Amino acid sequence: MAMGSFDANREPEGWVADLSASGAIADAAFADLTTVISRGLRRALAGRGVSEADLEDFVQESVVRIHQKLDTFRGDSKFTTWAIAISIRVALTHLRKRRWNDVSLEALSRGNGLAELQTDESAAIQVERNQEISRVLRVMQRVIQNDLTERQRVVLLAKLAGMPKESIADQLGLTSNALYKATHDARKALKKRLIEEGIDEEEVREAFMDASSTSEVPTR
Amino acid sequence: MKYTIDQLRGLARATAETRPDEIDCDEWLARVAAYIEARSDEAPLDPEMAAVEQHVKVCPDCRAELEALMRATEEG
Repeated sequence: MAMGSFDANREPEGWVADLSASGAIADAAFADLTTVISRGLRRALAGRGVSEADLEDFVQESVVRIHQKLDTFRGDSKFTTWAIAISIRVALTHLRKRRWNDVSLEALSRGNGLAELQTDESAAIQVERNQEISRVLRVMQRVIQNDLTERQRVVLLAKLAGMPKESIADQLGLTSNALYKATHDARKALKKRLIEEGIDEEEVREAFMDASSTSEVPTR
Repeated sequence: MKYTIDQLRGLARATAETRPDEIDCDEWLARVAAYIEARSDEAPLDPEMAAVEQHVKVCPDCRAELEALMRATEEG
């Protein structure tokens, strides 16, 4: 790659034009993009124990992905913020899938784990003590067992178990959009039935409030 | 599979936050850069940006990506 002066402050259109060009202009733009992504991912992944080799792989794959998606850049943000967001999707997808590499939906299904809302011991104690939690979970249990399709049930409960969306999609042969739709439809069915049973969203929030949990939307 | 109270809390909250017109994870990715810059401006969020915020209330994977993007774009 050609080595010129680093220019991470190109205008958004400048990035798209330079990365779409050929020869020395493109080489310089790719080198600058690699630097931006490398710095961004280092900060994004700090503390996760990601190796240098993995980081390098994530950077290279990200640069290719960003180039493929250039025509989808809407120009409503800095180009570099948009590019780093894509690189984070690339890196975290790999890390999520790796963590769940050896876990199959079949294994999660054992003991009816993807058919009903079974509680562990500590959860069972809280459910017994808190009538509101108990009431909400009873309704949700009925919906999961009676109202959801098999796909909706499996997707919802696998996500609840913590399995990443990419692993579920791979194992079920679904696109990410189809996976999201199945989850969304399942949640809509749960919410509809809760409302029919006289439990509105505020009551659900209050029943499951936990002072130790993180806020709903991350803040700086 | 037996679920912990934190997992059940996550499902209950995601259910409470469910909206009929949510954006999916791909659309969220297309908008999140503009969202993070809009937030740093402290300007009121328009409906497109509010949908980005709503999505992270129901999607833990995208929530983790938003946290990572905030770390990556922090000044200093």
